[in-house]
Amino acid sequence: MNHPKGNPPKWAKRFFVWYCHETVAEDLIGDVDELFYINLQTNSVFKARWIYRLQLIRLLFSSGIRLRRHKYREANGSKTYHSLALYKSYGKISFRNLIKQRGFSLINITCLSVGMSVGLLALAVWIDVAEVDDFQGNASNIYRVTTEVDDTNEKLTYASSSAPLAEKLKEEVTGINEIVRMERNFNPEIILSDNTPIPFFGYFADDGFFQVFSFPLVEGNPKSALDKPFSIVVTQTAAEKLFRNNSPLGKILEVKGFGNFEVTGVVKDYGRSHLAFEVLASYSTLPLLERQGKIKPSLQDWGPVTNHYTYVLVNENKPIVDIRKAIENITSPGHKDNPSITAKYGLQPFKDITHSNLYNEIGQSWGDVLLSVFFLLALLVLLPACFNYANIAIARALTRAKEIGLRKVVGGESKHIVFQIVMETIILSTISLSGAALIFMAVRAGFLNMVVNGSKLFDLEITPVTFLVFLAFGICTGMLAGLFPAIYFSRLNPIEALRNASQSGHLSKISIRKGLIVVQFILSLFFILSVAIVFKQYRYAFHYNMGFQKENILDIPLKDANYRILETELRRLHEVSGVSMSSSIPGNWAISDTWAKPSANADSLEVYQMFVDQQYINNLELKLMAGSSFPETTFNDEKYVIVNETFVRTFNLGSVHDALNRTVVTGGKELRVAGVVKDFNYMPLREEIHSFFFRYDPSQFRYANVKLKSDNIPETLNRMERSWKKLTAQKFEAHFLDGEMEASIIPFRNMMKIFGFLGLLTITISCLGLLAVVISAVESRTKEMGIRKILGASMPDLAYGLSKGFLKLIGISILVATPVTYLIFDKIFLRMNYYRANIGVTEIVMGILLLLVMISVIIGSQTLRVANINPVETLKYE
Amino acid sequence: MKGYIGELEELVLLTVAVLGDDAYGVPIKEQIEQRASRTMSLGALHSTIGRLEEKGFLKSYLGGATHERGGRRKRYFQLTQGGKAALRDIKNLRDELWQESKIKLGLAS
Repeated sequence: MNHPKGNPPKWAKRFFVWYCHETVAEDLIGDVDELFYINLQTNSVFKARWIYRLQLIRLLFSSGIRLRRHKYREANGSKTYHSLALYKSYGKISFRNLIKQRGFSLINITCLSVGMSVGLLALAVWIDVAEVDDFQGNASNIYRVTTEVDDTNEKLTYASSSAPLAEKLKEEVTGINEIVRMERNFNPEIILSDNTPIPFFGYFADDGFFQVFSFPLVEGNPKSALDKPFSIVVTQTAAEKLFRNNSPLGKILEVKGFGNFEVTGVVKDYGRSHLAFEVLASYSTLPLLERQGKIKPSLQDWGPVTNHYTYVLVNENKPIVDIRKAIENITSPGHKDNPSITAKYGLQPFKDITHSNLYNEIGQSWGDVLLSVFFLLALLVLLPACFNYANIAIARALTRAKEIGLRKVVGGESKHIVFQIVMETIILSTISLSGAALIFMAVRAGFLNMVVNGSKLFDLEITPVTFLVFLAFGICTGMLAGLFPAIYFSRLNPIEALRNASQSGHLSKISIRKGLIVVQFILSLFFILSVAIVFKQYRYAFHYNMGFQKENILDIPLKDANYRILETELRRLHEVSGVSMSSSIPGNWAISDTWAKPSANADSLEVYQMFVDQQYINNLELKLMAGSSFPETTFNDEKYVIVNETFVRTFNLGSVHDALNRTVVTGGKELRVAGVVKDFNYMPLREEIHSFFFRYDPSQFRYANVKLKSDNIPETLNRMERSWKKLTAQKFEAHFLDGEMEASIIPFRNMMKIFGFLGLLTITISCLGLLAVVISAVESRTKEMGIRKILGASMPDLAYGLSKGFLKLIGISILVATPVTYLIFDKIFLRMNYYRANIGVTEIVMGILLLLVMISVIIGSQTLRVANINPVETLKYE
Repeated sequence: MKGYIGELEELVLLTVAVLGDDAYGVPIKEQIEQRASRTMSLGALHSTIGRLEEKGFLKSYLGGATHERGGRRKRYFQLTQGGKAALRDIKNLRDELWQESKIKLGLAS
């Protein structure tokens, strides 16, 4: 029944039917519906709906309905008895229980708080990632063209694609409404009137950008903003930085190295997007810049797939399968230098982009794998907390057994008891949720710092959505934790329960609970050992001798400064004891490689290379095994190489001295070996040292390496900057080599932090859990201990008797955890590093000792307490 | 007699009697609202009907399913003998009281 003007509100109706039951409500709903349609003839839909809701609310509270429901229930028997009174009673009982067993409630709440905190973090990240780009109106019709590059060795899927592809798409594929090309090398330094360049980040983008993506413009025309060459669009925030309160439209901005751009639009500040940008330049600028020689030409080149991205807006009426097929049929003319490399194209839906894990992603992405690992870790912490609750609840069963027994005797069914216990747990877990939220807020900042550029992708603020998800998470945790004890209680035999036959306390009876304790301590030990192992690795990497001097070496990016003049300028400063030039910085990933062969007819081998000047080897204190550095006399033609020991071995050049003056052919040049250096780590420790050579080519120099002997570093830097200013207008930058090297061990530090944090959480959980179980087990045996004491047992005997069972379990956990941890780290984590510290006995023994100390404190304190009680106290009351 | 009836209850009973075979929720409500020019929610109506049913003055049955109202059946109300007796009693009582009262209404005089 559909009325043209509108229908009655659905939810109100559904709720009413649920509350009253269909049979009771049938005629009533019919009546209100009829009234609604009568009202609709004279009133607006809105008002009619309000009247409808009001009628239903009045009906809910009318005594007639109560009577009807009562009658219905009497006639049919109640299946689901939704009575407020019963909920109230359950709530009251739970709160009384919580307060009566204060200590255990505290333990439970702490455990669950700690357990849920990582889960909250994972959920917040998940929600934030899901919200990235949620403001894009065309999201369902936007696709990104990906490139699958097959270089015969392996297939890699890139998020980027070659520049000429767009033209081909336009010609050969129907069903595409708009193509947006983007180039990611637009990170301009914009020069303001007072000559200070401000860095920004952004892209070159096609004029269709604002038609495809929903970034609203505050000023400017979205259709033509990125049309003309040398147009630039800035965000509101960037505009404020650049122009304060003046209108930016039509102003000219001077971009360092590129020229003058006219501001043609201002983008409203947007939410989180994977395409985060501060400035956008028109794509039509690129051909001009190429012609002016200001950038490396890549627009006509099918080969490199690194810098250009292609987004398409498809026609929604055209089946996407057809478009996909058409795109897959496009073949690229191939790589210029290497015809064996082939490329195929595909489409990636816009919604998958933030979760994608392709090579060469644009901006930030947070792959599904990472998220899954995160959730797995969260689960690893959450599960022990839930186990704990179950464990404690069952260990304390004796205190509840009578209540449950009585309820069963007066007619409580199993499911009612399950419901009650689960509800109690949910109350507890909701309380714990606030504790978890506190921990979450405390670690949030640290977490954001740890993730590189994390703040662009997520802010982890608590919004209404996250709040609701958290609440749901809390309730689910409650259900999970409460289900096991609930089933246990519901199976309780009322006769035994009321006769007070002891069903708890003895750990020996229920093997599942033993298993729970063992699992918890396996996890705790795993995390303790992980921290120890990663710490050793961290120290190893920190103190590792890379084979070159890394202290007091300052690296200055040359930018457009003339290296020769800079060198003379720097040498004038008295703190500088040496200056050399290089094409890259040793110990990081940015090193180039090439192909070389010992003679014109031999096979090529891969060789890593660095271009340096004569002083470099001296300056970085690399050890020459034979020969010398490049000759002092400058030469225009490249003549020499200096190779490392591995090179001599792989190229079979004999001894290091034999290798001197042998020829090496690379890039069509025949070079002679001038010297051999001792192997050093030109890449981070994760990589093995391969064949490597130094070459001499001033055009490749990118860094000046300055050796300092200064007591006042800031003053020295100031002076260098003054000299720098004479040469170029670009910004002066300098980094200490050892500082740069430290960046490569940051992953270890982060890993240590993560494992340390998780370890702390699991250890807290398992120790508190153990404490609770020990307390309840020991308490149920006070009488036994009293009698034993009277019969002459000594204190140590009693303590041993009490803790024997637990110690056995801990022993099992150690036996399982140690080899498992060893294998996981030895075979997986550390395998990622070629140069690594092996896992030693010391770390393992120390880790186990630490755990044992904590456990003995917990068990010892409780058993000794009970063993110390005067037997009169325990035996007096019967 | 099973109990006293109030003014609203009397009104509802009489309206059911007026409507005869067509006495279900909506018309009862509309009739009362029209004739007595007072607004009445379905909730209030059903509270009253519930009381009357408890006292045994009204009984109800479900009508057949029709195409209107989305196939939902109507619940019709009917006076019981007790209902009729209660109405008669109250009417007699009122008549008696009017007869003996000292006020002379315009029409009667």
